[in-house]
Amino acid sequence: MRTKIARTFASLTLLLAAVAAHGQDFVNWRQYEGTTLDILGFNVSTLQGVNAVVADFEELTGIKVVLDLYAEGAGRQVQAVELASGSGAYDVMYFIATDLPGWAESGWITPLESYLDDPDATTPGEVDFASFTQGPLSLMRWDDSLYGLPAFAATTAFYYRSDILDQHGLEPPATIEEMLEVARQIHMDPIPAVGMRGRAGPNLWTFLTFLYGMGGQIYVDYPNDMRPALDTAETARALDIYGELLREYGMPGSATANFDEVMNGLQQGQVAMVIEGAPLAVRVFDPERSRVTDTVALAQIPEGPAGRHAAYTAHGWLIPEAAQRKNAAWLFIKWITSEDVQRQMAMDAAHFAVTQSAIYDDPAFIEKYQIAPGFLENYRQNVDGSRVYHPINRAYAQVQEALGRAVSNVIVGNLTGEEAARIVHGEVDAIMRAAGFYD
Amino acid sequence: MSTSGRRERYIVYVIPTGVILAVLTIVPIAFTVWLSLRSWVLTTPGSNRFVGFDTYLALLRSARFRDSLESTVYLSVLPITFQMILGCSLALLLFYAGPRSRTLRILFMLPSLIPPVVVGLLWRVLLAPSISVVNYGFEQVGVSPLDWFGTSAAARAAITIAATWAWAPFVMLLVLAGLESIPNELFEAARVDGAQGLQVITHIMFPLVLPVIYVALLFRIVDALSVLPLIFIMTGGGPAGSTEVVNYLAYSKFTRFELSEAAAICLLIFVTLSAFGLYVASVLQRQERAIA
Repeated sequence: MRTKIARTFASLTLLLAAVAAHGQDFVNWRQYEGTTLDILGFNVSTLQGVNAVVADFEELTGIKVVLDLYAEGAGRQVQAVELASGSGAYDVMYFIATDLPGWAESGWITPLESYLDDPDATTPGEVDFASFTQGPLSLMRWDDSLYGLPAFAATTAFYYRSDILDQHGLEPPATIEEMLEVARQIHMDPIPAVGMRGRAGPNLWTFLTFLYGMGGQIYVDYPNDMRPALDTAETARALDIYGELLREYGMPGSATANFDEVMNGLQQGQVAMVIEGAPLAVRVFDPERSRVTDTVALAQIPEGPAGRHAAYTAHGWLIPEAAQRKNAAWLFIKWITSEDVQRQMAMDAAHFAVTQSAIYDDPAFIEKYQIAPGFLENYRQNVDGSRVYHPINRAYAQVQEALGRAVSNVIVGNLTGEEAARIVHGEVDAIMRAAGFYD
Repeated sequence: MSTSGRRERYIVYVIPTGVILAVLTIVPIAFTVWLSLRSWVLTTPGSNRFVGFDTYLALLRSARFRDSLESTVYLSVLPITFQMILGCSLALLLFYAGPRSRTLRILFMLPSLIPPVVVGLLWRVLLAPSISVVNYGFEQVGVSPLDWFGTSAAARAAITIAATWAWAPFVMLLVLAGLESIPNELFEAARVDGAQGLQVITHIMFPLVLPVIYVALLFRIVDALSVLPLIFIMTGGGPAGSTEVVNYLAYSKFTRFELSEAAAICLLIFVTLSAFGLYVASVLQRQERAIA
């Protein structure tokens, strides 16, 4: 009951804040009362608390929400088919930022500027871009248009077993080369040293940290020169290190492991050092789901000669071009990405990867999610920059797959880093040529 | 009724079937052919253009496609060989055990009743590195545990084991039915002529059951390419593409919206399997004529 009152209060606060700030010049939240919105979402941590807040949205607007939550992989396929066919079955979609360029260039999704400029849709100043963490917001844009508002910002963390490193008299590795050395010293004493994604495709989430750290790049000069830049000594070295870490010192099954296997290994006390998504820390430090809550610690991602490059990506909400009720959809998007609603979702569920900067300063939020000293500060810093981690473009899915296979081939020892770099360079060149980036 | 009247009635009866057949088979195949002659990547604007056989040529030049063919050969020949050997052996065992083996028959049949996705999950858990029951068994007898999904050879072995476990019962069932359809008189005649166990098997049972074995083999070969759910669940095509069979590659292409390449792969599979099916059908016909 108390939660319900709090949510209603949050919604009213949002409404009153708009009124107070802009006199009578505010949006009528009930202008689409009686409308039904069809929304596609994924079963991801961000949306754990979505059903509860959706009820508040229905109460605020009189709009009925029908929410379909899919497993991420299946949902992305449904999404692309619905968008490509222009079915108009969904008015709002949750999406992963790397999918945006192809959809935007195909004209399948709606630019949001017209809603931002429309006084009937947005109270002036109501959607404050400066309030969002800037990295995720930048991933919502393509070709100078805004296509979504960010709802989730993820980065990676370095998890390690402090008891095992202490036992060997070692500090957590600060550099990539040190990580290799520490892995050599602690492997199988008493557990495998390293857990990271090996499965082709998903492994790019962590491999790019090594590629960029060693000074490599996927493209010559993203986004100006999209020719591949993978046939280099830096790429070869990054591949060799990543391959050696998982082949020689990795937990069993590393070659086909995705994030779930890696995190389960860590939670069950079967691996000593892990680079994985920082939002998953809530699993590792949950005594009901983890055996290592007292012995696991967090550190910065190891850096290479070319710096530290923690992963980052974003999820957001968009409106399909074929949507039937775009104006009502816009009300939903700006509402669910607003500070109060994001704070509510974070406090109600185990999800802290919010995209409204101010929430990171909220004492209640800090108390709940400051898992280790400096954890939230590092997290915010990693997702708040404008650096490029995924150099997204319309052919990025194919490039991810090709580079992921190259990494996988080095992990199992089929290829050396140098051979894999040369082969994947040719493959990416063919992909980019076929996608029309150059002749 | 006149001949022309019969013909009209015949046409009226046939037309609906013809239309349904056309809609359900010919139209999709024609669309797939059309798709394969283009270069359509759904998320690349302007890519939907006619390129003739370029997609096929690019596929044949692609190392990934050649690797997937190699994986297909491995993951067809090995599981089918084991399924045929195990299925025939079990059928022979149950045939000699007679009606007393009813419980055993049901037990042996159980794996074939489990949906392939569940088979994949089951074996994924049985062989999972951290909780592998199989590895635990190895350790108990002093054998080093195996990283089942860590190397190409081990991952292929894992798929082979799961596929053999799941589909050997199908072979067993067909061959057992074939054995039980052999007239008793032939066995009695063989006994009167002094034939012993192995002679009965090689000279009576095997020749008479051979057409059934061919049918089982045909089904298994055609079905071998449907090993996709096991691969999807157990290895995801890895490590390093070592379990990526051609239909898994086609599936991957579809999920990446590379529609033309996926269509070309599907057609190559379709043509290959059709040719093989026709070949086996002709062999069966020759066999039947020889027996007759």
